[in-house]
Amino acid sequence: MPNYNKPKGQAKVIREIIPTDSGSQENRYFFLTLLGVVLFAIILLWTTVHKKNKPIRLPNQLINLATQLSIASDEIAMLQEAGLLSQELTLSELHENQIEPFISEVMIAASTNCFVVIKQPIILRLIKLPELNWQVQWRSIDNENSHTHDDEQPKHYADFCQADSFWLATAYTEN
Amino acid sequence: MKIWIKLLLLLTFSGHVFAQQPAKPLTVGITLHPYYSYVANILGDKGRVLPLIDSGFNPHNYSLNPADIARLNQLDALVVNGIGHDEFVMLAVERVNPPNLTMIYANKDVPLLGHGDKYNSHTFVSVDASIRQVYSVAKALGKLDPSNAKYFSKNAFLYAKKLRSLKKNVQNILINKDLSKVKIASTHNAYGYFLQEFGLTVSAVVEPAHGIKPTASQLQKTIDEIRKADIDVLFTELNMTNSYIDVIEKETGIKIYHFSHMTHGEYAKGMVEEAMRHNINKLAEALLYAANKVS
Repeated sequence: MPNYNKPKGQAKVIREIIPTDSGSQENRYFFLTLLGVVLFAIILLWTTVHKKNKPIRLPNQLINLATQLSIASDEIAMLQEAGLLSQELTLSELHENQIEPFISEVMIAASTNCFVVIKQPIILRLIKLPELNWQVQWRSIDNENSHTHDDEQPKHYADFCQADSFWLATAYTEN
Repeated sequence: MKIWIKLLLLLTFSGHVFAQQPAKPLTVGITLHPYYSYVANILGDKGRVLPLIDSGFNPHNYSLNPADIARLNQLDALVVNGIGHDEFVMLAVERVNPPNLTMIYANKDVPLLGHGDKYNSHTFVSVDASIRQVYSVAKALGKLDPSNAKYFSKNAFLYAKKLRSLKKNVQNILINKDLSKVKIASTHNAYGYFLQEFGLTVSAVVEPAHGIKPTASQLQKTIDEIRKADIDVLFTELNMTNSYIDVIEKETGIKIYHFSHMTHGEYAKGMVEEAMRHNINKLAEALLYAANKVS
């Protein structure tokens, strides 16, 4: 401890020796951190790209239902062209014409020319889209739509007839 | 001058007619037996179906010979499975690149069963997946021959109706019997689409791949699995001698039923209908047996 009571003239010089450092350790830490950041970015990028390329598939247990809906899309278009079905379809018309899966599944008329079937956690829809005619699409019922259940009021089903990018095609072949 | 205008109009008009109506009926090639039936029923008398390979060959490991390549050059269109059952033709088409050939991918609109990047290519064994393919093929043929497009659509519709009516036999059993405890195995994964359309799933698959016999240790493992899972019926392929199936039957006591794989025999318009009727009757028989066993 320095002696502050000493007269000024007798002050002792304290010499602190600071060792010279090349900074190699700091450099090592810096480059390791940098490498870590780059590696993390590469992994993140790879995962994102890989996820994008990987087709999101309809669960196997719903394949036959999707096939029946896809057949229905062609048959409805054909019968409408022949004038045997009205342009604004009703469930009873589809029942009367024995179109599957309308006679074996609980299909819901969600909106005009839009029919949905819910198989938790998946929802499938058969919808007439402008220019694309009848299409079968599916999506998972995620958290944002978790309010939707089989016993829900029909007014909410109309939300499933909106056009948005969450809906996926049921066929995956590239041809 | 007037003569030239008339000639021009005549040429334009005749060009339009030719665009609407092909000069000759379509010649449509097929790679697999079921596609012969589909196309023959769609075309009716407005075209010709030409199998690319002679009957009696296994499409899984076939390679095209010069005669097949010559046939390829005669075709207006070629109907292919395109998801693994007729790879032999994909390479040939790529190599030969016939100038007037339109490829028709029958499974284009079929939702496919699969795991990872692999699809189950046996869509033609199922009634619904067959109907889906019939409509896709009819639409593609209608684009090639617009003057007969409606005729093809009508034929497809009538054929689909005929195929769908075959399902009634099993559907009646499904309504009247409790099959929730019935457990099914199959020799290879050919019947996934077919069984799913009746709400049934396969609990165990015996063969490692189509036509490949399991090794002794794999066979023992399968026997153990069948015993453990308490499998009631095993579906295997008609027209295929599998001695190991007899071993499984003897060791486990399960009942064996044979389904048509639809890729054997002569090409025929009524083959799919006949084979599906056989498969559905066998399925009905198997389900009745299994339902009685579990109850």
